[in-house]
Amino acid sequence: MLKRIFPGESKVVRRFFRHKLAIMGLIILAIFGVLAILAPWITSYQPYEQDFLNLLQPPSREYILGTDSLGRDVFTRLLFAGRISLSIGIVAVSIQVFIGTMVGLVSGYFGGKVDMIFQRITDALLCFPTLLIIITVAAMLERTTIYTIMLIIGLLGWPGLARLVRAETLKLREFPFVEASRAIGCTDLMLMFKHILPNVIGPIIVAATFGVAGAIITETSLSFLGIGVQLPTPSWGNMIYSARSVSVLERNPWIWLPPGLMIALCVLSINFVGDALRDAFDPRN
Amino acid sequence: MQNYIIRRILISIPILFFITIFIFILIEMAPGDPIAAMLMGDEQFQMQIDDYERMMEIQRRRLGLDQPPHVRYFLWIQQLMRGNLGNSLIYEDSVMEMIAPRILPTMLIMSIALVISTVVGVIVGCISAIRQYSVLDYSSTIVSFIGISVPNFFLALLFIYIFSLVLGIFPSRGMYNIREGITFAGVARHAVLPSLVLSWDMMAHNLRYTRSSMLDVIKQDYIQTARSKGLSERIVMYKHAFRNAMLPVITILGLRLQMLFGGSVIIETVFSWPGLGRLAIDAVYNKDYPVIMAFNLIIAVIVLFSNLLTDIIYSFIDPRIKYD
Repeated sequence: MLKRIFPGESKVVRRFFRHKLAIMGLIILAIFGVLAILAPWITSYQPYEQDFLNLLQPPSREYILGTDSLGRDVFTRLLFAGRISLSIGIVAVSIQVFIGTMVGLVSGYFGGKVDMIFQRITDALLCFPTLLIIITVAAMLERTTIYTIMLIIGLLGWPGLARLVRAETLKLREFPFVEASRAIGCTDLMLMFKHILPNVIGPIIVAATFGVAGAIITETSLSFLGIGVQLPTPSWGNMIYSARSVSVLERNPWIWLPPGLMIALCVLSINFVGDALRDAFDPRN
Repeated sequence: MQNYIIRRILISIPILFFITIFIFILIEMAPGDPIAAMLMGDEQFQMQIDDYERMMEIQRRRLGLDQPPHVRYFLWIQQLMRGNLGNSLIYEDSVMEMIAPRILPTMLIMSIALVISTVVGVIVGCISAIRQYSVLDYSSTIVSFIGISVPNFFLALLFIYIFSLVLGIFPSRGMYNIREGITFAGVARHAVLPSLVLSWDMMAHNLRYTRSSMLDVIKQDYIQTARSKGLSERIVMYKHAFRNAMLPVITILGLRLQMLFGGSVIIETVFSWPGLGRLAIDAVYNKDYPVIMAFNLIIAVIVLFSNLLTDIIYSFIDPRIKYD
């Protein structure tokens, strides 16, 4: 039964690999992942190491991407920032997926009053621009760390996913296989998690992929504004913070250009992968 | 359809309720004591500790802060109804007074961005769909992917670097030149870069959305029918395909407003544009909670009503949909 609604896995994989841009995206992401994990072994500098004899040095053999206003090696900070920005993206989306799936499943499966209330809460949350509400909550904290940023983005970014899961659940609930499973005595919990959830996994994976891209943009935007990851901890966003002064923007492009390009490349790759995944899971679209 | 519209309006009431509840919870959770902040500016510093405590107690009772949360919620709503959004902790002005002068500058760049992103996105999206797999289709797809992927603060910096610092065509900060004063040409020149950056990712979204909607419509039977009637390709595309393809694009216009507000917060900060977004960020830096909360509330309500309006307009223009 499952196979009929959910196309065979090998088919999904095959359809995914038809997309050349997605393969390129996967390779870039893999490289980013390896760079982030192996950061301490790739560079000989420390991300917090200040060198007051070498402030604002342009790229050279010694410093591949130059140094910033405190004499820190930009390339080293870029690698360590990748660790932070990527892990915030992944953890935040895991939280979103967990909450969004739970709310969507319960709401779609039970319907009625529960659904009504959950839906209105979701609608209300969706009226706030995500970035704005995240900025608001971040502003209420004494000090934001990478963990609080993960939590905030995770706890406030789930409504879109909940809506998606709910819609899928509503559709699946009417399928004969659910009826059949209920007839042989499956409990609500079993129906929800063993029969309906596996069939919603596709759309969830697709949404989660785009979600990681969104979370990375949110985190870097927050950090760029100075209310996300706090210096001296490097994030791709707060590395660009100093470019808000015109002199850095004009004279030291090696400080802000590389992190910006890293964000763009990373998000672009994730979007390519997400697009291919959507096509692979749902070829009609 | 009348029933649909009434039901749609009725649904908005609980949403509005949850929006206010959400803001109320945030206000309650915000750190700091509003009474202490209120008294700080006055001559309370010279007061005896006892007097100060007593004063706080009186104020607390006067403002109803000694009441349980649900009573406080209704007191707060009552004030909102009267148009009282509270006072700034920093500037002592009422939030309403602070917000009013900021509305026009934000509306200016938002409306320009909305027009650019819709017109360009829809036109290029349509041509892409009609000439699927052409060079233009591929390049517009890639450009729109980049548009979605480059965060707007980085795009803003790139634009300032290229157009202000290197080429020197457009100014990078503020809304007008202080020496020239507010002139139409001056404001227009200052508005170019922020509006362009603000429209960028929305344009990309509109383009992709229009393209896929148009591709969908072109495959429909009635397009085949129109062609076999012997109508020219132009009439088929513009009269039959385009109009139908626009329907789903209109439904997401409401969502665009929310994107615009989110984007304006960042873009106004980078370009020092004196609008609402800039006000919100300054309030965040100053920890001026009443201003931040009022801003959130206003935007959420605007978004709620624009969504409602989009749905109602949609029900008028798409006669195929039956509402029970």
